[in-house]
Amino acid sequence: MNPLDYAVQIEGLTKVYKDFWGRDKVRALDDLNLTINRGEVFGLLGPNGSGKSTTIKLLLGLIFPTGGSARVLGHAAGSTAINARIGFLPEESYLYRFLNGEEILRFYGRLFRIPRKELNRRVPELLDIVGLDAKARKRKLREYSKGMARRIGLAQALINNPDLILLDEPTTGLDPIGTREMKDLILSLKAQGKTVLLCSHLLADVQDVCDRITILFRGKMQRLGEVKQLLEVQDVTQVQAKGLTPAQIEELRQTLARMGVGDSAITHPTTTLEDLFVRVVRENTAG
Amino acid sequence: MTSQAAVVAVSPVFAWAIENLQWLVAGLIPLACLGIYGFRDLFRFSIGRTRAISSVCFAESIRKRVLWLTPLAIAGVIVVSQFQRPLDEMDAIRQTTKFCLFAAGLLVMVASIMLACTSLPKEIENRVIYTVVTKPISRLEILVGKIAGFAGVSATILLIMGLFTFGYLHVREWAVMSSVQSRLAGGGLDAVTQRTLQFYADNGLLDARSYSQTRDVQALAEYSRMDAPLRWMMGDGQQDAYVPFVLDSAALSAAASEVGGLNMSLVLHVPWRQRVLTAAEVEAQKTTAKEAGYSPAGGKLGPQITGMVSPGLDMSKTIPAFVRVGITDAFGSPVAGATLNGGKLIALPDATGQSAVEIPIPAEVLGQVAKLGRLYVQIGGMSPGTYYGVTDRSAIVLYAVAGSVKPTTIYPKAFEGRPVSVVVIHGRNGTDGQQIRGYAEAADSPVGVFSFRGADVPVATGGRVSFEYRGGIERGDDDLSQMQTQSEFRVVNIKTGKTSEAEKVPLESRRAVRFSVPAEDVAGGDFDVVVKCGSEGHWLGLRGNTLQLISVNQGFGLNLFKSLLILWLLSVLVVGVSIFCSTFLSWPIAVVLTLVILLGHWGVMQLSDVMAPGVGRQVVNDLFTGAAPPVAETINRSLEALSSVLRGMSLVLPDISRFAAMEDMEKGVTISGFRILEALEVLGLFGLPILALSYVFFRNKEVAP
Repeated sequence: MNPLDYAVQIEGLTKVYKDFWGRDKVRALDDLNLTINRGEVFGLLGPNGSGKSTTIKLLLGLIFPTGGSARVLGHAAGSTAINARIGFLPEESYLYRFLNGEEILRFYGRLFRIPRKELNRRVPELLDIVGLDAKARKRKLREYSKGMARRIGLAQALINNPDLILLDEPTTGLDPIGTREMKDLILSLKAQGKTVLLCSHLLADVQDVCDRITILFRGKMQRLGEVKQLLEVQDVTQVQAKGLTPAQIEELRQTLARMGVGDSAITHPTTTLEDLFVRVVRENTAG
Repeated sequence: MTSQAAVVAVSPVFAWAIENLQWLVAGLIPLACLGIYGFRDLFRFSIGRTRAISSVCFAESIRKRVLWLTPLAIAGVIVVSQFQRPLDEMDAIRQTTKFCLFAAGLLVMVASIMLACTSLPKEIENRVIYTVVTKPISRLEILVGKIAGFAGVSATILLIMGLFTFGYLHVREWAVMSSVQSRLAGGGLDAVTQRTLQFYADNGLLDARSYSQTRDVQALAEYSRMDAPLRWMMGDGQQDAYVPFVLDSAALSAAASEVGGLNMSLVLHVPWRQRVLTAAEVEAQKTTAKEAGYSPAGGKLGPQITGMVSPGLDMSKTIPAFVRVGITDAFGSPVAGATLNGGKLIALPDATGQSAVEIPIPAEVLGQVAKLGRLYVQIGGMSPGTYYGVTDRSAIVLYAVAGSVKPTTIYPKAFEGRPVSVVVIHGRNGTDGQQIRGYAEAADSPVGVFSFRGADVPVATGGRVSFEYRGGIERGDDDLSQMQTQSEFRVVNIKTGKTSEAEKVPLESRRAVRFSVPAEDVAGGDFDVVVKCGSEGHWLGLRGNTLQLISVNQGFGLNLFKSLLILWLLSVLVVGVSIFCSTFLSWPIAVVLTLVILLGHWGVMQLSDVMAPGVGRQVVNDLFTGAAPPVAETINRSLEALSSVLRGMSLVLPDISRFAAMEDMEKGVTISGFRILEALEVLGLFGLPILALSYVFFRNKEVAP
């Protein structure tokens, strides 16, 4: 595969944090090898301290690798020029708190040298997308709730219509509706052909939106593959049918017994709590 | 090309490089930084992105309410100015100007240091930097943007303080001027005050003046042009002639290093004459002769010395004039042991000066003298009431090295920068410069001559031009301390040879007095101003800037603007240094280092005398006389090393005293464009390298904590 086809290409990436005297303190990332294809949603999973954020910081040039290399959209990681095609939502929305929602987006827009006319169109559009109303737009960021800060953080990450979006714990601080909207947005970005690198320890979120994931633990990669493939239980077959009567279910159980399947379970499927919550809120909102 | 030819070809380049070393270093550091890290960031530098960063920095500072400090500073100035104790009306205005500018400067410096030192460390600490550096903006643009933003804050503070200063001082001037007018109308003022107040009333108190002054001020027995072939200096220890010589120090030092290898002597040709002496002077003359051990052949001390001694007088019946002769270095500091004739006075028996008086230079100081290269022979006239003639041949050096057939003659040669006269005549040194004594009889009084050459002569108003005189006056008698000193000034136009009428001006010590002369007397810009002191026993102190020609009156607003511009340039340097320190230090340490960098040069300069080479030996000799030799040597070396480090530091640290924003404003002097260029030079010399180094540090900094 041509290297330019990869959104991210990591080879032997290692990061060792050192103390004041230059002695090794923590090996945060150890010989990571990874490629992320263009147009996919990729999940970076792991417990706290596993190296997820370190990987993202290395890809963005916020810190420098101790060993190995990383390329982003065909360029060396941290290159100033390639940042024009990247959007980044940090773990928490670290923004200038004395600016209001509109001002902060205009500021970041100017860093991308987006023309004023284009900004006049794009800023309200983005604020609509992330769900910040007219009143919120004029409030200083220091007055924002955590959820609102995440939304404005997401808007700044999208101000340049990026090809690659790095989202560090994107659903932190969001309510279930916001979480669902975030996941919908990620899927819509994917539909637009953009690459999303998602870093989270909320496994359900990752499972819902990611094409592929990797699991890191103590700086080392433990698993890598498609979500579906990794989660599939090969020796269990699941049959789903709608509208079976109790008699038909009983007959099905007997048939399975005759086939020698002793350990079978025939139950009604349950939805996720998130689905239920969203449905209830939406029904009430509509009502 | 031979190696010698190569040296000849290279040496001008080398000399140029040494001369422009600071600029070379200032240019090479940025070039080296860019060479190592590539020019890419420079080529993709965007004004738009930089402005975005600067506008956020500016907005952040404003929303942190930095500008709220300005009303506090303004209130402080108003309160403090109520407690001032001015010498006169002009001083009141100048003190207020000083308070305003001091408050503006202090405020802008404190704000600049605090804002610039905290900006980067705090953005890194609260991680706002994450969302900035991950955008297509280079670290260079971030740094320049921050400097521009904080420079904008400084400019805003200075604008507010400038507007206040302008308005407040106009109000003050209006109030003070009313008082001036009423005092003038009331009458009963002494001559100095009347003259001064009238000048204020005519010229206002705020407008700045430009002054022309001269470095060439000499004290003489009577006026003559500086380039006259014969000038007269006063005896009685009042004046000395400094005759300059340039010696081949390498050759003479080598000869002097061998016993008997060098013989050197001075040959004096000093004519003299005496005026009618007072009784006291006659007594003093006798004492001087006795001290000199002089006994005229067939003559006796007494009344025969009254009357003018002239060529042809029977010298056997009179007491000759005496001089004391010594050798100094090129700065006028005496060479130890080089007071000739064993420190005794030297008689000049021939009043015509045609007969030479030869004085050998003692062998024990020959080595020291030979090493000097440039030296002065100092001839001090010691006889009271005696005038000593000074020419370019007043002294001649003769020397012979071992084996030479006849001695070599060295004639006086002016040092560079002394174009007016070869031999310099200098009055007795006092607290306020060289001095001329006042006599009741104007004819007896020595003169101070201020030589103006190519002076910037102003367009005359009312056919006259003004001078300002401000000099110290020493008075021998306490009873006279409250009296004004009488003086008279004449202007001699070099081109026309015309001497103006005497302008009688009463003086007070260190108080500015203005007087005017007809514009035609100073036409062309080449003229001498001759001052005499007419008060018996008063001594006028003369320095180059004691008398100044008032050239241009400039509006207060423009002068204030220039002062604030220099303050702003200083604040830009302060911001640059603060940002530099904050790229690798936490903000409290960055504040301290910023202060050290900014004040380091000034601090070392304050210690310059103490930290001069040889300080170690001096301290050991003064304080550790009983110390064991190894201990003494350790102390000596440690202090010498410390002294070297400090002197080295002062060379690389910025000299903030060259941001002269206040000095001229306080004096009411027009700030010249040179002052602004000087500030720009320091900013360029230090600011560019510091920006380049900041870029290197910040580029290699991991901004994620």
